[in-house]
Amino acid sequence: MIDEKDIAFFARKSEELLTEIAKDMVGQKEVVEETVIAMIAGGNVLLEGVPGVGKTRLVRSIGKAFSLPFSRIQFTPDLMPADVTGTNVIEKDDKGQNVLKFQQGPIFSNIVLADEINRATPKTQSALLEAMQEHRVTAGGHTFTLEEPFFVLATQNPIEQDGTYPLPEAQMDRFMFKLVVGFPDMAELTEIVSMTQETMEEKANAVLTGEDLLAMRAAAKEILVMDDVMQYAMKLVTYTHPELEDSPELTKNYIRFGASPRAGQALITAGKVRALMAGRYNVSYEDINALAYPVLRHRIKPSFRAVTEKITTDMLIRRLLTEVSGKKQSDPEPVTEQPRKKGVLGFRKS
Amino acid sequence: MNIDKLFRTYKIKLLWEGILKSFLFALMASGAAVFVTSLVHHILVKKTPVLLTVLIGICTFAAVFALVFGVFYYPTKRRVASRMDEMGLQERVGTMLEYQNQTGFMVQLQREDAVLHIERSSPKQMKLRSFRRESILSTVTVCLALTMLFLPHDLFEISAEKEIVMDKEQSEIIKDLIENMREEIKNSLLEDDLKEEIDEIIDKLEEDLNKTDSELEQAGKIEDAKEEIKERLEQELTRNAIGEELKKYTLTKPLGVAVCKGNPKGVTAALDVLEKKALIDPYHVEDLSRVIDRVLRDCGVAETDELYRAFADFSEGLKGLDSKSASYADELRAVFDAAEEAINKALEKQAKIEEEKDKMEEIMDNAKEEILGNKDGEKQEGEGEEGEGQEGQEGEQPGEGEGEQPGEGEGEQPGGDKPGKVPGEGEDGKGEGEGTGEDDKGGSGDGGDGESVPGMTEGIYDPFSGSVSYGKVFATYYADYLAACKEGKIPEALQAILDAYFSSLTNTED
Repeated sequence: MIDEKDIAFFARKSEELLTEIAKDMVGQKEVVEETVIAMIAGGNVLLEGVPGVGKTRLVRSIGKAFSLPFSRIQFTPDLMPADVTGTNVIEKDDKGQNVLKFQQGPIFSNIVLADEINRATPKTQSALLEAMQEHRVTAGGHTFTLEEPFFVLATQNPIEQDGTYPLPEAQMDRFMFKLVVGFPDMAELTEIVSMTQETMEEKANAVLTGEDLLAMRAAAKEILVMDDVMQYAMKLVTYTHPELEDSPELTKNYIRFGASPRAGQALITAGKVRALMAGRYNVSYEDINALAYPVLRHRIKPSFRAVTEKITTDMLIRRLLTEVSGKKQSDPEPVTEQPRKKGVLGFRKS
Repeated sequence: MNIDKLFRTYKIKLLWEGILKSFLFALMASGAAVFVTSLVHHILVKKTPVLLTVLIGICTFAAVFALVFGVFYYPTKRRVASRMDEMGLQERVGTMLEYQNQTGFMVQLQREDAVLHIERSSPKQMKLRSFRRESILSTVTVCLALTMLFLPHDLFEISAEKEIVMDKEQSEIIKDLIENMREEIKNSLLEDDLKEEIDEIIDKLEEDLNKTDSELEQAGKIEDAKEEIKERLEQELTRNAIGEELKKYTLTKPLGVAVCKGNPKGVTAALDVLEKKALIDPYHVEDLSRVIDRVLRDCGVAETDELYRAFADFSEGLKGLDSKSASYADELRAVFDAAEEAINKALEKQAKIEEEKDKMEEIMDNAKEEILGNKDGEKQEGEGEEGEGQEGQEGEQPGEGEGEQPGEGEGEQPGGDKPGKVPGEGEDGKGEGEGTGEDDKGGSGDGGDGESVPGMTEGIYDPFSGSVSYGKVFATYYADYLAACKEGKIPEALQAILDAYFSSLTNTED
């Protein structure tokens, strides 16, 4: 049962986490925030961006902020599944006999950075599937449970797609969020260069343990969701399916495949975290609208017509939100930039 | 915590909003109802009942107001919560309302948070919905409704049937025509079922004549009815059919001629000859019987026809004769006498039918002439000057009747290329009747009822006629024209021209 302390703890820890990460990340407030939301909610994140925008740095910074084992897997075309999960090796036991011993792979960590995941072969990519979804690894006939909390933070480069292996739908669906890391503006770029002139090392300090994260997750789980908000989120997910009768013309014309039920789960779970981070105890339409983009952009497959008309998934999501809500949508504000009022427990700075 | 107390101020605000919106919607609906009701009345009924229409509007207003307010705008708790959340409370109020009956730490926390935010907010922050669209629509609807309600009815004579206005004389002519026809049929010696059929034709004619006030159309209808009656009566005149067949055979040729002409004496004489032949040579009896049978087979007349039966009985009678019998001559005489009587009786009846047909034709032709002449007679100018047949100048008013009547019948048709003058009739083109016209001048002086068409200064040259009964010949020509149209003898393109021509002849205004 959560209590006031848990809520206060959540507030404090989320502030600290964001503050620490901000030491290493210039700008990208929305990306940072959504990554943190996904991690608290227990989801995996796929970061997409051109080289040098800070994808890996963000993950490393998070790794530092969490005092949790962190491992990095650089995906290359010659990477084998065993390189990810681990393999049996021959060792000599005490008696000097050769025995097979399972050597754990880099996946046996709490935070796994899967760098340039689309460069690995599908066989290697699928090695991550079980781990990402079930937090278990099966190797050498044995199943190993991964220690909680477990996250996969993957990165990929949207350019230079030649010779890469696009992630299959099944694997894409296992990422709670897909975040697009954009290029920094002039001021941010200046600050980045200035900052990294001093040192390239991440400065974030550890502020959160695994138990802390699990406690925060438990607190967020208790946040209330109104029926109407739930229906709104579910309607948004169903509206992505062109085969359904009630789907709008937009969906039938521009979407080939819609989002899975995991999208609905992600919207609500992450919505609760977002609400609590904003100092609310209920999920609002605004939370769903804001999270619709990271939740749906990798789950919707645009049709050929959308591709030829150069309609992106983000544009489709915006139009869908307009259809569902009946109001024209604008880009949502990051939670950290919303005006904060003193909450009931006074944990928000006014 | 009392939710009702929290919501009170907001609820009152929304109540007013709901009432106003419902009022505007109801106004729109009632306006539409009044508009439609008025429009329907204008179209179907001559007068719009203002009170009833207004009452309909009021009832519609009340019903729509109650429905719209009750269903869409009554500020239920849920609606109030939703509107409060729109003030920037981010679904706090809605969530609080939904979980109001639950307990738990988070529920309590959320509730307190919601109450805090509500207390920080002000009812002034709740923006009421815009009424602009509804106001405009209701204003427009009401204006349209009032306009339609008080619009003059004259503008709506869409479905009103045009009243047929005939002048008095025209109605009298029609009335007399119908009466005369009915009287004639009633007093005729036609069979009852035939009388009934003719009566039906007369009834239809009466109905058709009362549907139009155009003289030309009426004349056309009369002509059609005349043809119909003529056709029907001619069906009863079977003597021609039987007579023609009889004429094909040498033995019965004289009899056939007599039957065709309907001549009883001729029939008697022919039968006497046949009787004598039969007396001399009994084989003639067989021949005669055979011929009659063939005639009856080929004539196409119904077996129930009286003349047919007369000949059929005659043939039967002949077949029953025995030439070897001692009383052959008496029997032969009896058969021939019976045949003579039956045939002559049938022919007499047919003669009466023919007479009736002619009478009906005459009645109807006269009526036609009168109708067309009536149109002319009122306003037509006299035709031409004295002796100046070429130009129909204003002058003498020939009046009606006699004048120079070139006579009826098939007169010459001089080059009638000058409109306005009807070519003269009569054998020699000269007027037969009394008149004042000069008969050695072409054209007509002042004709009887042959008035010239106003404005037509040139007549049709008729070297043989001094004057023309314009009204009479016109009616006949027009009737012939209508008959030809019916038979399809006149191309459609030409019909239009001729219709205009005839119409111009009856045009009384310049």
